[in-house]
Amino acid sequence: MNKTFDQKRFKTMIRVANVIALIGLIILSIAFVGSLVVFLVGQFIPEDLVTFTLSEMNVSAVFDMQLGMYLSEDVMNAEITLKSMLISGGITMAANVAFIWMLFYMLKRVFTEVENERPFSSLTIKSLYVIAFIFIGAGFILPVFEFIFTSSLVSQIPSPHFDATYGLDMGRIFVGFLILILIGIFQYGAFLETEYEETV
Amino acid sequence: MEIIVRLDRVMADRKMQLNTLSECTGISTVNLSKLKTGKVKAVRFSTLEVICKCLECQPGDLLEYKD
Repeated sequence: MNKTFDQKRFKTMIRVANVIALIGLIILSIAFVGSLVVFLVGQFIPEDLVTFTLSEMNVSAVFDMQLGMYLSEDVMNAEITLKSMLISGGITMAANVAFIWMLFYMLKRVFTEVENERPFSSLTIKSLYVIAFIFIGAGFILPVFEFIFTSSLVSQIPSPHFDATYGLDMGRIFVGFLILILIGIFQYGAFLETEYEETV
Repeated sequence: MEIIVRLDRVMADRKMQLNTLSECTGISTVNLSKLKTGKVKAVRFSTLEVICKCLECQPGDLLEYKD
């Protein structure tokens, strides 16, 4: 390796990143269980326990920042039930957490490989492929869950001003494609590493 | 067309063991063995230099081109 490359500092950095990824995985696992609990609570809670109107909540008038107007009487008196929101919210949260969990898991695999001085191994490249496809898949799938959650909220408010729409998460899809391009660089690195190893 | 490494022949001529050459050159026996059996893609000039120094030979004695 190049003498200007600070190997010691790099190793420390990777070790710290590996520990952070591990802590992240533990926290995300707890969050995943939490979101499943929210989902189960939504499934089994009696509907009348979580049904209310905005006027019941001592809200005399709610000002909608986006529309720049006070909400109508219909909206204020509409019965809102949290049951469907808890179910769809729990599932949406679980899907989002699962996405980040998988990301952290794959990153941890990459960090472990780098720590073991195999930064361009086939496992690293495979993990990066999985990360790229997770991002692209999440760009398509997660907005579906978000759409279901928003729909469950909007459907309870009798106002033409609120609407739920499905849209792809172009940011995530773009990141996925960016990682696919970066994999090409890693594959070149793997080729150089093989050449290096086969030279005496 | 290939380049054949004649390290084994030169070592036999000098009656030198792999371990002795390894100690003399500072190259591991694993790498010398790979070189001897032709399981390498490339050889560094620095490697050739130390081997030639220890075996008192020329690079041409170690490498042979076969058509």
